[in-house]
Amino acid sequence: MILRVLFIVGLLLCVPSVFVLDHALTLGPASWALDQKTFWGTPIANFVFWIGLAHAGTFFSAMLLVLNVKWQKRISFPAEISTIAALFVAAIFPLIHLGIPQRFYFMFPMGLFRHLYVNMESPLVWDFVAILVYLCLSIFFLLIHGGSLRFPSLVAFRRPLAWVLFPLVLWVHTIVSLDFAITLVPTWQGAYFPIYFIMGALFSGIALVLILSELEGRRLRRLEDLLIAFSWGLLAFWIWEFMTKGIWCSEILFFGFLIPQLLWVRPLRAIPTIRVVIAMSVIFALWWERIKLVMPSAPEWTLVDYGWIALGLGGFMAIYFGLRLVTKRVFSDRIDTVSTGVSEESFPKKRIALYWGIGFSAALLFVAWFMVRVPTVPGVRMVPVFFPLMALVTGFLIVVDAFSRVLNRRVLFGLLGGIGVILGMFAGLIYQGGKTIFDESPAIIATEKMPESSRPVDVIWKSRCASCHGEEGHLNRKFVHEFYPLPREISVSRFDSLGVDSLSKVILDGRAFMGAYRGRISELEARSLIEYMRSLAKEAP
Amino acid sequence: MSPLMNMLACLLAMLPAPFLWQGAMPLRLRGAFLGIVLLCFECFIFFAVLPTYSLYEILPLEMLAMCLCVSTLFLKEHTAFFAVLSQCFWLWIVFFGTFSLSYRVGASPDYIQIAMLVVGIILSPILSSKKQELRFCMAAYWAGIWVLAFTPV
Repeated sequence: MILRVLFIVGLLLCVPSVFVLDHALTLGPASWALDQKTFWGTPIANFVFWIGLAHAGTFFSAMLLVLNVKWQKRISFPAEISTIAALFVAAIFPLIHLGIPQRFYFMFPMGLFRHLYVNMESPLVWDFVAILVYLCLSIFFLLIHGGSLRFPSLVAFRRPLAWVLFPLVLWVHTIVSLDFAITLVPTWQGAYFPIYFIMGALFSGIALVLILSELEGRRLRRLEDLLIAFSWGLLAFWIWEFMTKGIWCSEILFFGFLIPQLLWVRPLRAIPTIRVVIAMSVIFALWWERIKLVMPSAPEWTLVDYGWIALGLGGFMAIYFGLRLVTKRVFSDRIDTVSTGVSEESFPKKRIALYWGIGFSAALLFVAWFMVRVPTVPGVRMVPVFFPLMALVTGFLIVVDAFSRVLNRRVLFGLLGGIGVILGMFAGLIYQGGKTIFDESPAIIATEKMPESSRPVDVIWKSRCASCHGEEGHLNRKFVHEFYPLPREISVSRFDSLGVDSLSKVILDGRAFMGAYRGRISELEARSLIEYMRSLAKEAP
Repeated sequence: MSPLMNMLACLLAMLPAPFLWQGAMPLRLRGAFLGIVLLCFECFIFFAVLPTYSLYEILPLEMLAMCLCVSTLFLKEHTAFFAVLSQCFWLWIVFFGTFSLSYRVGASPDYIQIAMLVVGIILSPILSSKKQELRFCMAAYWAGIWVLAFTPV
């Protein structure tokens, strides 16, 4: 009964979000709160939050499965559904943020395809690939889990697939953290962000699963213990953030650390409402943390910003409780108790090695193909997409192997053919493309490592330097002064006193607030840039 | 960061290792203990290392990873499995930490440290046996990785 009520509440919450969605798609980013310091806004904050929540399912089903934790079977199926629901909700926000959601396929790493350069050095592309693969494999995992009720032989495939998902789930949130960690915004710079983000995601995920299990009348004491354990881990990260950047947020500490400590008190811990309230407090703290991170200047919120809360909550509730109702009807309650164990029948190790080998080779082939098309991309920056692609191929082979055991060959080939046709149609859509004309040569956008320069120096200046230093060399004060102390104005005398060698070192290796450009600008180009700056200084009034 | 502080950090990281998994401690207490250990590492790095050191931000996490690696030598079962996981954790911190730094300060990842960790992951199932000599070798190998990763600035 309660599942049905929550499903309807979710649908009702989705109603206002339809209007918000329409408003946001019509007006674009102008419809939500933005200013000079907050240039991503609530869509990205909500995306990071929901993608974090999506970790819960895989954490409980895959990670704990490979670690042989017995109690995971009591919650794994609802947790897997919550992953799918949270992923679908999370995927909405970057699409809105794109402004032109119908062109989302431009994020596919195609490599100078139709004169469109998809920047493989950008974490946004890695994000797209990793999340798409995670969604596909999570659905496969859920299918095998559900299918194992009817076909017990499928249980043997859960563990090999869990081994694919285990690193992938950590990979996804690491990539999300790199969206922030590699930028020039001082408060986002953190080499410790990958682990910090993973911890935050798992913490919120555990709180979500605790709420979902309480709603179904189950109590898992281990979840409460995990909540306390992770609250201490997060405390360490919040203090480190304070030590390194001076960022401190009392309300996050209160809701995210102090409130969960109530779980130490046994009489309080025994009350289901208190447990749910504590878990909700954790979720609120981590949502607020993402908001504070993405929106450091706290611009005034519009109705659209509030609408995202309804969209996220309503969308999640509608998808999760809808799927839960359907699965309960199809499998009754057996799905939560019977088929979740690990089969005694072990999967042949040779075959696992073969699938991983094929996955590795496929990912390697893709990287080779991409780098032949765009030779300027440094190989190491292909690593973030390498593993998700390898995982996709390996996972797909395991799933095909699994269903080849239980399905009729004709049905299986029909299914595979259907998937092939859909993919082919999609490839055709990309090939046909839109009518956009790109004036800029892709070679300009490519971040290349060149022994010798072939790019005009003014183009490099405009693409690399002008955002801070200004097109005419008079500083882009509007942008710079928000984040950094203003650098000194360029003058001929200053150039002559510093010398070409030291200035080119500053360009290549960075200094104080100036970022390093080694690997993106060659030494020859750095020297040409100095000459160009000198010419601008001469022209300066 | 001075070489002395680097050595001290290595020793400090090994110090809590024998106590991490000792006794039948509830999960919540063990989690809190790990959090406090990480906090201690952070305080040490905060006071002992200048923020200008390029790896400053990830040093406490690296200390925790090393602590976890050494702690696996005191486990009674699944030693090799957890040694591999702990080294993967260390590798993760180093690779993605230096990866983000490569964008910001132009520093390339420390490939020697990464290669040594990969070798450690491969060797763990062989070396993490019950023989004390081999366990000592593993601890010495991890200390070696720590020391070699030091870059004087």
